[in-house]
Parts: sequence; structure tokens; C-alpha cells
Amino acid sequence: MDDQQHQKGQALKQNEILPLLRDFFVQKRVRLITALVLFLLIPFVVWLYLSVIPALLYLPLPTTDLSSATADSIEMHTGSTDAQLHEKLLRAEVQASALRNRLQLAGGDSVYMVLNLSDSTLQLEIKGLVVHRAKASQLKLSKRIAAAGSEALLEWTASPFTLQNELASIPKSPILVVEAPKDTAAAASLPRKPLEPEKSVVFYTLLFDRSLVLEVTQQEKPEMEDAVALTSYQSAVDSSFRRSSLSRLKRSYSPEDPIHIKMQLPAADARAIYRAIPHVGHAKLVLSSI
Amino acid sequence: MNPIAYNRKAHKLLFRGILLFFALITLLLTQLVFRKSETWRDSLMLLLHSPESHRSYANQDELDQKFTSVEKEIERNTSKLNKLLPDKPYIVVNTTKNDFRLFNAKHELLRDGLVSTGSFTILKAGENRQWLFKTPRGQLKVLGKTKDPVWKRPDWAFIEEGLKVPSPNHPSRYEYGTLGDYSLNLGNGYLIHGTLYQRFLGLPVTHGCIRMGDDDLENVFKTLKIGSKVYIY
Repeated sequence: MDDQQHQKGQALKQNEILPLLRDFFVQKRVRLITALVLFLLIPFVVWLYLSVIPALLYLPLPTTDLSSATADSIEMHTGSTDAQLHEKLLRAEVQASALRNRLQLAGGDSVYMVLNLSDSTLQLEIKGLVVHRAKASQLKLSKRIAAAGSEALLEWTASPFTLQNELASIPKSPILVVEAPKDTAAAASLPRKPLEPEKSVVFYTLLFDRSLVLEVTQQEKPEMEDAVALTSYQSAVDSSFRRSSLSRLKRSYSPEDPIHIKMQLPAADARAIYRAIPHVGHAKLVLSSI
Repeated sequence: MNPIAYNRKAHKLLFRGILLFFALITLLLTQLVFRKSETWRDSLMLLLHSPESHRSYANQDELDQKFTSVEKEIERNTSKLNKLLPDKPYIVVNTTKNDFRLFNAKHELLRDGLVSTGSFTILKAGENRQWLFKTPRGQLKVLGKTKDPVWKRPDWAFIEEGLKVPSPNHPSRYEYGTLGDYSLNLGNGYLIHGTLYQRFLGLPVTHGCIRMGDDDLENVFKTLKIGSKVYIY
């Protein structure tokens, strides 16, 4: 009896609730408010999907298969710890790792870069000799680097980074092609490069493996005549990173998401460094003193 | 028009307007979230992941032992790296700024100044012959030193002037005084030498050689030995 009464009661309640809801949503104001709430939920959901969930689920730095390079120095034990000594040891290991990388690259013939984060310098080296050192007037690191912690960074920087792609406002090699003249008169009218130092605006983005992106901008304010080169460079950068952002909608977070290091250098230094480093696939960078 | 109908129409328009306005706001907000998502995610990561060490050692001795071994590695590798550095005077040439710095064996700067390096011009002579006038980069060595050098003009020197290329040892190939008072041979036809065009120092105008002003050249010639390292970047 009780069950029957209970079921009847429930049916009644449903019969009452459904028309009530129908009436509720028929009202224009309610529809409007519902629509507005749904509208505003979209950016919130995107924020949750692209920012909050990845931050909760993933580690700041991509995991690499390079752990073997430091495997002998990372041992897990239980027992007493001394934070200060650990930190000192980690710093020494970072220094050892950077030295190991520099030594490895010094064995080759190419020019390579060493980015020292502790004194904000980007230097070029050939066979271990520092041939050029540029001091950054501004250096910004991705927060992921700070969030990662020394051990993850040690693993991330265990081997030199290799340049995978580049975008720049200046040509890598300022090449001028001329056809051999037929006679001395034609030789006199051959096209020649302007006989003055280059002044074009220097902005470039170097995309390395393990998601490291080094953005270099000149510290001098660009001139009006640089607007075209700068706009073209910016749109290339935007297009490159937007494309990867769009693909992130399919996959909210990927270890390949860029880890940016932005630095401002004097234009002459920035230009000299970009022109000196080898081409994509060959240029190497050592990250030191994190 | 019937005022009630007018009122309804106005309400409808207002309703649609509000919807459109909020749709636009949503679009802009979504765009902003999209653009800033990486920054916000990284900030959240910084808040959520405390960069603490996960390592621990059984005892102090183990930690000390580890530290000593890392320090030894640093010492060993620093020494290896130092052994690669030049032990004779050397020169560093920047082909973008077109300048040089001359150092002694103790890495003290002796002199600096302007040079001219490769112009990055490609000279095309038909389908199969072309030259790129570029100064090689990397570490080179002084292979030879010559006083009062004579320039033996290669084929491109005639081709770029619209002249007929003479036989390999034709007298017209030999030019006196063009290379200045001294030259240092870097191999593969590349030289450090003087120039008649001192006004172009500081600019990339050469066919790959490094041109210097008279005084600088004399100083470099006297300082660098055969085997001295030349760093070009």
C-alpha cells in the first residue's frame, strides 16, 4: 500500500514539475538568462579545458628519453635529507651537465650557442672559445621552467638543444645573385649591394627540440621603415603559433607546447648571433646555470 | 502602427540585441582565453607544482661522495675544455659586424678594428659554374705568411669584370700590390690581406678573404705565428 502511494506521489510530482519547467522556460526572460549563462560558460569551459586541466594533469616540462645521461647521478633512497646540501649538489650537477654539453659541442667544428640564465648572457663558442658574448637587457622565462624544479630541469637540459625551425625578420644569409657580365661595359652596371652597414630590424624566433623556443628581439626601438619587415615577421610567428594553438583544441595539452625564453639584445649582437649559427638541424644550444 | 504590436517588435529587437551583444562578448572572451590559456596554464602549474627535490640519500656520506664525484667531473671537464683553448696568440673575426679582435696567449685583447669579409654574392657564369663569395666560418689556422704577396687572379676575377679568362699561368693573372704588404694564408684560397679599398673596411665586400687596414695587418702579421688559430663567426 505504502509503495503504491509512494509511486503515485512521485508520478504526481513529475506531472507537476514538467509543466512547471515548461512554463519556466517559455518565459522570455528565463530563456534570455539561460542563453546568457550558456554563452558565458563557453569561455569558462575553454579556460578549464586549456588551462586548468593541463595544469592539474601534466608536468611542467616534457619528459625525455635523456634520463640515461643523468641516470647515474639520480638515485632514489629513503632516509634523512639535507635540503641545502641537495640544492648544492643539484647546482653542481647542472654545472657539470652544461660543461659536458659544451665539451661535446667543442669537439665539432660548428659555432654553437650557450645561454647562461644566471647572468642573462647569450654567447657564441667555437671549439670551447667564447667568440661573442651578448648581455640581454631583458630576459623572460616561461613559468614552466620555474615550476619544473631542478631535477626535471637537469633532465631537460641533459643534452644540447637542436634547432628545428626558425622565423626571422632578417635573411639568414644576405645573398645577392648576379649573372656574369658579357663585357666590361655590362660589368660596370652590375647590381651591387649598398655600401653601408645593415640597419634592418632584428627579431627572430628559434624553435628547438624538447619544445624550447628562444625569442630574440632587438632592444632598440624599431624605426618606421621597419614596419613592413616587422609585420611580416609577426604574422609568420602568429600564424605558426596559432596553428599549433588550434591543434590544441583537439588535444588540450601536449608535451610539445612551446616553453618560451624571451630575450632582448642589442641589434648588432642579435644580428651577429643569428647570422653566425648554423642552419636548422645543425645549430645547437646549451642551457646553463638554471 | 498598433502601439502593442510596436512594443512587441521593440522588445523582440531588444531581446535579439542583447543576445547578439552577449554572443560578441562571449566570442571576445573565448578569444582572450584562447590566447592567454598558455600563460594562465603555466601560472597555474607554478602554483600547483612545488619544485621540491624528490631525492633522498641514505646517509651524509653518500651525499658527500656524490658531491665529490660531481666536483671531480667538473674539474676534469673544465681542464679538458681549457686544453682546447689557444695557447698562442689568436684572432677572432666577426663577419656580420666586419670587425676583428686580436688576443695574446693569455686571452688579453691586444688590438681590435675593422675588416671587410665576404659579400654573400653569388656570381653565375652559365649553368654549371657559379661562385659564392662568403668567408668560411669556424676555427681555421694560419698555414703560411707572406711579405709583399702577389695575387694570382682566379677565373671569377676575370668573369665578374666581363673579361675573357686567360690560361692558368698567363701574366695577366698576376697582380702586384693589390693584397697590401702582408698576407696570411688560411687554406682553400682564403687569405687575410691588405686592401686598396680602405674606405670599405667594416663592410662585407670581399670575395671571401679578410681584408684589413695597413696598420692592423702589420700588427696581426707580426703577432700571429704559423699554426695560430683564426676564429671566424
